[in-house]
Amino acid sequence: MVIKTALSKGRYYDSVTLMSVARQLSSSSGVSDAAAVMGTQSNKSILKASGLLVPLFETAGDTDLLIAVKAGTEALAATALARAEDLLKASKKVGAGSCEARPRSLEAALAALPGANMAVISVAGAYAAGEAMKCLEKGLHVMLFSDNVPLEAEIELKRFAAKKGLMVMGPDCGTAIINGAPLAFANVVSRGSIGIVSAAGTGLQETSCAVSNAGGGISQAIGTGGRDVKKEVGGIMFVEGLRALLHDDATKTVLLVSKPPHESVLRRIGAETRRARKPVVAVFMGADPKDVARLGVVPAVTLEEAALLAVGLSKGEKPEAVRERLALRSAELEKAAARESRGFAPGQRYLRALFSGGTFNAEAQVIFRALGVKAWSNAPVAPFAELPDSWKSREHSFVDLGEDEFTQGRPHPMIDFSVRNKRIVAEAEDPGTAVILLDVVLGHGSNMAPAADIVPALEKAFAAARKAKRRLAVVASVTGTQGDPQGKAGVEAALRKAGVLLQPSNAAASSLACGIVRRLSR
Amino acid sequence: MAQGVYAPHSAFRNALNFLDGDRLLCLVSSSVGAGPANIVFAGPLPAADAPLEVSPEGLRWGGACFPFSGVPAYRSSLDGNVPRREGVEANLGALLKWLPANAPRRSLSFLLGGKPCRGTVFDRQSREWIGAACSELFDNDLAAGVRLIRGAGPGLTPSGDDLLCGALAALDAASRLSGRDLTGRRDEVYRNAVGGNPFSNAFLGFARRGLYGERFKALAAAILCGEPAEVEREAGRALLFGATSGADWLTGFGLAMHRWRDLWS
Amino acid sequence: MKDLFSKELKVVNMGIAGFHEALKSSGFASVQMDWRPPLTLPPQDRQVLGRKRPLIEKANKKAVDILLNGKPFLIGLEKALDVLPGMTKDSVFHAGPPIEWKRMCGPMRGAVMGALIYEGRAKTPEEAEELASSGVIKYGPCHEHSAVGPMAGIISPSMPVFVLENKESGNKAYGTMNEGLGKVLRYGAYAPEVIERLKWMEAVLYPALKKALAKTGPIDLKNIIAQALNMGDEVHNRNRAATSLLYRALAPALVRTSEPEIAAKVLEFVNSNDHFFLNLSMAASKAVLDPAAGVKNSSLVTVMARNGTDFGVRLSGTGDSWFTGPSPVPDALFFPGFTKEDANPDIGDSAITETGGLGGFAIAASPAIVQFVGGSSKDALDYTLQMYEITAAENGVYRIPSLDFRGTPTGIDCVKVVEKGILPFIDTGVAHKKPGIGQVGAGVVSAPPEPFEKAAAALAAKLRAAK
Repeated sequence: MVIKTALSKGRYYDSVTLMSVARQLSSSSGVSDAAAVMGTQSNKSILKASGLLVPLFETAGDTDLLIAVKAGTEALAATALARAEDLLKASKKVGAGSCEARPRSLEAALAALPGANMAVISVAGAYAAGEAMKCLEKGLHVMLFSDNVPLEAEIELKRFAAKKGLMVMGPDCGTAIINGAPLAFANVVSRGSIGIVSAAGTGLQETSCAVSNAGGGISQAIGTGGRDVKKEVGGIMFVEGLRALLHDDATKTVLLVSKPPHESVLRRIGAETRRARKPVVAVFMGADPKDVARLGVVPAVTLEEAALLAVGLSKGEKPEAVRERLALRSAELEKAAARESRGFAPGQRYLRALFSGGTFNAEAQVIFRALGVKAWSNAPVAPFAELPDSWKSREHSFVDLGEDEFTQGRPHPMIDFSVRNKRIVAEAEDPGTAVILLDVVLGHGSNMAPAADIVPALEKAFAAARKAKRRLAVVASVTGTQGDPQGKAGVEAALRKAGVLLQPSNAAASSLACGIVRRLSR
Repeated sequence: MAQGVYAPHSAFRNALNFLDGDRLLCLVSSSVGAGPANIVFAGPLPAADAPLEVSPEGLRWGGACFPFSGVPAYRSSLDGNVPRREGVEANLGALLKWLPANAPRRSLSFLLGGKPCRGTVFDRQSREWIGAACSELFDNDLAAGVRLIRGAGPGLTPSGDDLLCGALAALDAASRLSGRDLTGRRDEVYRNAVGGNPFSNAFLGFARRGLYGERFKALAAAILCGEPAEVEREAGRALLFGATSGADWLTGFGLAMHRWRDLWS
Repeated sequence: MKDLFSKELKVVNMGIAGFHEALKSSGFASVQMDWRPPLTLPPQDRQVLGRKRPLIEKANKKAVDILLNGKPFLIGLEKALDVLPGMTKDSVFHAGPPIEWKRMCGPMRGAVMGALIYEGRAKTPEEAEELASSGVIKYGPCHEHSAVGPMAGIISPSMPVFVLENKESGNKAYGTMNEGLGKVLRYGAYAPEVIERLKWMEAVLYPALKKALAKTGPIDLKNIIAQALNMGDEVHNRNRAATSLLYRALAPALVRTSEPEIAAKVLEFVNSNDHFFLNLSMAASKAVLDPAAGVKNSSLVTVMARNGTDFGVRLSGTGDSWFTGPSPVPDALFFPGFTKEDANPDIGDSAITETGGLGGFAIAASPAIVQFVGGSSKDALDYTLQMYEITAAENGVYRIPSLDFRGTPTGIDCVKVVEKGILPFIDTGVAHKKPGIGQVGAGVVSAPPEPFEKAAAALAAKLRAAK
């Protein structure tokens, strides 16, 4: 055991701060005893009785702060002490002004950061296009996070940018990784040789994480916004991005992610991919793989498959080898589904999918489609029907909580779990619910404590089912990496501990969920 | 409020503290509330370190003047609260029952039978120390007990000091109930309790003179002339003061009222 | 797009600050903008202003040079009726843009009533109110009569005024004497002690100061202001240093020209009021801005003023027109016992100091004020630095120690305000919306967008017509 101490003279901290320092100290790893108290005679006597009194403290007076830590090793004690001092310092910073300049105009910003080459714009939609144009005029590439940008403005911006050799990612582009830099809601992924162009935000996050988690790496991940691949915009930036990656020496394999593009856009994509000298993998969520294969690309049905194909190809594997591994995994999932489909009450038949990522909602429906059963969604994939009321599930339901009706005046559900948490409990109380399917998205910008936020709701849901003598299956996947600020492994462990059937991808989670309800409907 | 030029002493999240010699003056946010040394600020607290000048007309600070005219002044004493002796027993009983169940587990409420958290070795030693010191104070030698309690435990004003402030307030309440002059005992507690901590000293000084912060005054008034339900409500508000300071004060007040029952009943 | 992948990524982040933080924490270069929506202006107006930019720049240079070269001197004191252009026995001048009695806010009404009682035109508040609304009294903005007044800014015929001369252009400017703190006319108080103080100022203070000034000769106000900026004033919300400097300039002459008891009373009065100099810093700004008016094509702002109801702006290149919009309620630190509910919308001619490159524009020189309203000295620097983005020049004489003696941002360019969406930043005191209660807080306020939008549109119309 090692004791480390600090004495702070003539600086005063309020009791709340001192208490939180003491709590922080005693909860630090390896610490067996700790104290943070004023150096009064009584406290010195108590420190002595606790075996924490060091000679340094003998001279301390009533207004000196004494900090003592007893820990297993020197390093653990030093770490705990340093954290305590950080806390004390932070308490003094409250109310102080920010310490970096915040330029009000673009000119001032460019003066403050010479050589700036990218603008990330997330101001209100009504102004976003104007600001984006100013940035393009100054020669900056643009990522437009803002939504509600008029279609005409998007077309004008993209045409102008294409002429100048600039990139416009978005509008409504939630994520991108350029030169290793995570933009907006991006994950911390390994750098490598796989380049992504995506017209689907969560799709980009899921594929880039899957690539990274499978041992591959990302060269660039370009988001275009969902409207880019529609007829009106004509895929200007999707094709520009594809071209840029085909010309980029650091990119060896290209991965395309989108909902099915308009056929005119498909033709333009095909014109590039057929000439490509690099392997190109494409997942056009819900499109027929045979049609996609005609573009001269390797087609994938799910985001996970696309990512694994890209990693396999970049390592010189054949697509068949990758697909074989996935087929084996499917068989495993079937077995798991058979196991997990036991013990439900007679009326429990339905799947309730509650997503924070729109692409996941589409992917799950594409997987569910194979069952040939009717389902509902607030963002339906053909042939499913639109939910009459997004706030109320019926039969099998797929709900995207990122849609406008849920986000009015509220942060995105990847940040604020409250709406979905309430919905989870409500679904559990519905006697028809058998399986709840969820996504949890990590990364910059997302909820910083996802496990702590969602687990209480899950506990309530399980308790509600138990009370009604029902079983409840909760299936989920976590999109993210161990490098993300939230740390994937910890979040997964917490979910597993809460009783979640955790899967490595949304595709796997969706397959398992579908497998369970398929057996219940018989 | 005494006139003078108060030098900036320390700045906390909800309070800016100034000292003129050993006189304390605090600019506090409204979440702290009024008190004998507090000037309540309506807005967010400024981050200034200029001296504060108190004159009969107002405050002068950082180039600005705050006239006193029109500003409601806070009365710190219990004057005007007419005790209802027949209700006190029930009110005190309510406090003694309510507090151990609701006080933070790191506070001194274990003295009233609350279940403490295990805590660190240091926490356990502190509890033993204060428990023994209380026995000394109430059962044996008052002065020696006070000297053992003062400065003991965590906090800027250590828990022991908060407890002693509560005990001093109990003496004020007791003399209001019985009409007895308890100045001698109040002085004895105070004399043995003061040390080198200007915050503790200021609070002890106010407590000796029967001056209370807003929440503690409301609690004391509820004990003297309220109902048990009021006592619980006001105790709940007082608990929110500081980390454990509120609970420690209430413990001191309740314990002293209980143990020194002969002084007022 | 080849250069994007080969160069280091450097990001300008406009909007959600978390994106900037994430980049910083991952070690990428990023700058966070403090983005605000631009002001609204019809596209054709925006276009004209863009196309005619060189013409506007040239005109602004001419106008701002007049402003920078002005030399304001305090030359004497007189009765308002004797010197103010256009003042008649029935005149009452007020702060801000023109306003009739029925639209006046509480404090301004109170001040008008007080002035009528002071003038002997009414005996009771009721009589005063009746006279004030009868149509007999002719109201006019101080600004249209070479004068300025703080808060309600009321000037009535027998009030003594400071007389300033701009030695460069030869024009004059006028301002009342500051009454001090507490219950005062400028906050709409009209109680007997208010009138009594005004009478004392007329009977004792005025002749004493007048005699003393005759002895000292003209006092160079530009010099005093320049020194005060180095001593922690921005001469709008803090005038402590400037008042002290004026006191030093006046004291010997006062003692030599007045009875000792009178001299002592006068000096005590000046000493007890840190804002005594405010009315002079305002008049000094007025003296140098007035000659900068009337420069064709110039978008230089020559007046910003509030009457407690409207906020008004005048441009050098748009003649005598006022452009107005609702005056905002300041974001202030309220004195104990008061809240924003009690506050009157911003009021007073004192924004003339900001128009002249002082006050909020020079707040970096006066960190004590920002501290006082809950900010840090860093915030003070930022406020001033921002104002350089909307001004036409930097002052050659008024300098800011903490910015390495850089000249204060001087001469607001209305076109820049509209284009960048950065609004002038004003220090201000806050009046209670009921007359007679007085100051309830102090704080800072951004000018409202509407007057600037209207002014820019009017300038654009003139430019189009000239073609």
